[in-house]
Amino acid sequence: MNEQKTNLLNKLYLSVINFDVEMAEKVASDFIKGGFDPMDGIEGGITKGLKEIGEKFNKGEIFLPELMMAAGVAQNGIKVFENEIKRLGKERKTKGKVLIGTVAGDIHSIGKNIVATMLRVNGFEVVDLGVNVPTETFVNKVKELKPKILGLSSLLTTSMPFQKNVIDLLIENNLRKSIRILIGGAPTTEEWAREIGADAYGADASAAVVEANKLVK
Amino acid sequence: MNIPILEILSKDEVKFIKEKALDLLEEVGVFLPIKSVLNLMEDCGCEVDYQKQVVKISPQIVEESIKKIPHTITLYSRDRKNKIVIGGDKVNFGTVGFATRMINGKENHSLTTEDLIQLTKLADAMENVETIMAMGQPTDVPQNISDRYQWLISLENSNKPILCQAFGKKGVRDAIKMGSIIAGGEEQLRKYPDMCLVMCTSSPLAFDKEYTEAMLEAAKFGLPVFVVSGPLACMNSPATLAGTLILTTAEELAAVVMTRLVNPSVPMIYATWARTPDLSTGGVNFGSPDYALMNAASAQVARHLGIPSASGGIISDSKVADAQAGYEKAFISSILSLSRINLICGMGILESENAGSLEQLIIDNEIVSVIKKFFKGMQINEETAATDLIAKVGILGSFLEEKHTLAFFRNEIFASQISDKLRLDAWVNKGSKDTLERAREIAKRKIKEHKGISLSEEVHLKLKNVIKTAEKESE
Repeated sequence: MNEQKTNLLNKLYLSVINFDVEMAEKVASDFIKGGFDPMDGIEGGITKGLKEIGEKFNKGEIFLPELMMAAGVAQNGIKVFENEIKRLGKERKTKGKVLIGTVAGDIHSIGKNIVATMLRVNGFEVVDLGVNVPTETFVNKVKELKPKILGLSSLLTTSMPFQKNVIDLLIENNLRKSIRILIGGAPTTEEWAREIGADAYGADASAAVVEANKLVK
Repeated sequence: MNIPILEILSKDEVKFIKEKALDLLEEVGVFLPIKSVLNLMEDCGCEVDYQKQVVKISPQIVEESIKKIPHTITLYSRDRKNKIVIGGDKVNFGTVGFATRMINGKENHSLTTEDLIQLTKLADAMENVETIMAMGQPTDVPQNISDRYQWLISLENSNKPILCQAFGKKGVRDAIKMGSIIAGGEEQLRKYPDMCLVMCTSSPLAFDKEYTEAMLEAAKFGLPVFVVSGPLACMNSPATLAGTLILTTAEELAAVVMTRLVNPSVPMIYATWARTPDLSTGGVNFGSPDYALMNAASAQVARHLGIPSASGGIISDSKVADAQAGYEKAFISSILSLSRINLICGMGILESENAGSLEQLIIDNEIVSVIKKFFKGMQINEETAATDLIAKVGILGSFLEEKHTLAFFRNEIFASQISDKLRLDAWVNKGSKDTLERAREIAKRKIKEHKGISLSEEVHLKLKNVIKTAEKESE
């Protein structure tokens, strides 16, 4: 491989490992200027860094704050590449698009944010709709963005029923079969997931990733 | 002899924590999405941004509000034969209740109304449970009125003061209705409160509409309020214990100000649940020395402010009534007792407050017995010195048959109800039962033997009607 390309890929990898967002963005920009394929920049540089971060996390050598930092840096680097990919009229290949949000009546975001980050670290494209998301908005966004997975988060026993509402509304709109539904959040359980007709349940963020991987196979 | 109060902060540090909390309220303020309350706060001199729904509170207003808080709260038993005083240097113990699951041994299932009834009955039977925070949220009832069921089951199945959440104004009104039915009218309920309303802030610095409306409705009526602030370090509060403690203090002080606006002398409990995370999942890690540190410090801050305190001191993240549950609960409850948190909650809970357990309730009752006995201290005087007796019994003599021993042993010596103190072979001969098995057997027996309060058929019917009405209105 071209020496300059190797050099830049290595810098991209290091920027993720070292949580250096400025370096990630600059090197991504240089990589594009160098005429190299932006997809390679993501796969050979950023994703390489993320994989290592993910492994260290799974081994318990690093923890959430570090994971979130690294993922944030990676996201910023990827954005630079994605703009270029779009400009070239192409599309980035990922494991799949995941739509995620906290259901209506619930403003809790931390758990959802951790899941979103972990999914991104593990190769998914995640669109985060935020918190207190109306049921109709979930359905409209499914129609619009055609994700492979819809993730629904709820942290209150009083907002849990909205997870069911979303599923019911998807059925009503003939969209249920086009998507896989993954639910989670402190008061939710496997039993609840089965009861409301979800496809999977994530007891925590790591479990959510395991389930998401199963759902896209 | 007295067991001294454990004060882990210096006087300057307490001041520092308070000043920083006041700074936050003055410079950042709190989110409060209730226009009528924002109006009230503006009227008393606070700076309100109606668009952002944020109110900034000056230190002056906070100090004035603190002066109005009752230093102690008296809660009564349902039959009014007993009362407990929460505040000052006293330490009381009780349950806590947001559980949605039930754990029996290693089996678990979603918590049902029947589970809640069993937990409540056993809590009622435990001599060390002084207050019952509704021990779970039943999953087999309409979820939008599960609070009504929490109140109903707790009130009907125990004689002890009940602490519980309520969903909004309607939830509080229904709870007051139920309490008044049993008490014999609203005035009686006000005069002899056996209920306390639980609400939770949303860290950092936010007051959720439904919970806050409930808090203010209860305060207006005159029901004591229990304000839980439980930021999670690294997540919705700084990674530092000091920063998390300061955030808790700020949120509690904001609640002090708000409640004074609707009822200047309504009792409030500064319920501090400051916590740290499990760094792999972001979930809560209650059973940690950090919980002990922050909440011991909170006890000191609350006492300095003159506000009765509470915390989930008997707490564990274990999913079984096992060694982890034992050591986490024992350590934290010991530290918080020494620090004089006025109401230490958590008896009967596992999985970080998400699951109820009859076995654990028995074990926690024992932990509290141990703590209480420790706090009794030692009697040091001529009689207990017993040197005359030692002289009389003489060198290599026996004390077992002495009158002095008979007279003193019950008071002086702790007798465990559930710990096994036999020699190994004796223990084996009795079936090699571990703590879990022994606790299970005791739980079964205690529930069977317990004679709880009995309310009249008329009262039961009236209470049922409150639920029926709530169901109709919620459809």
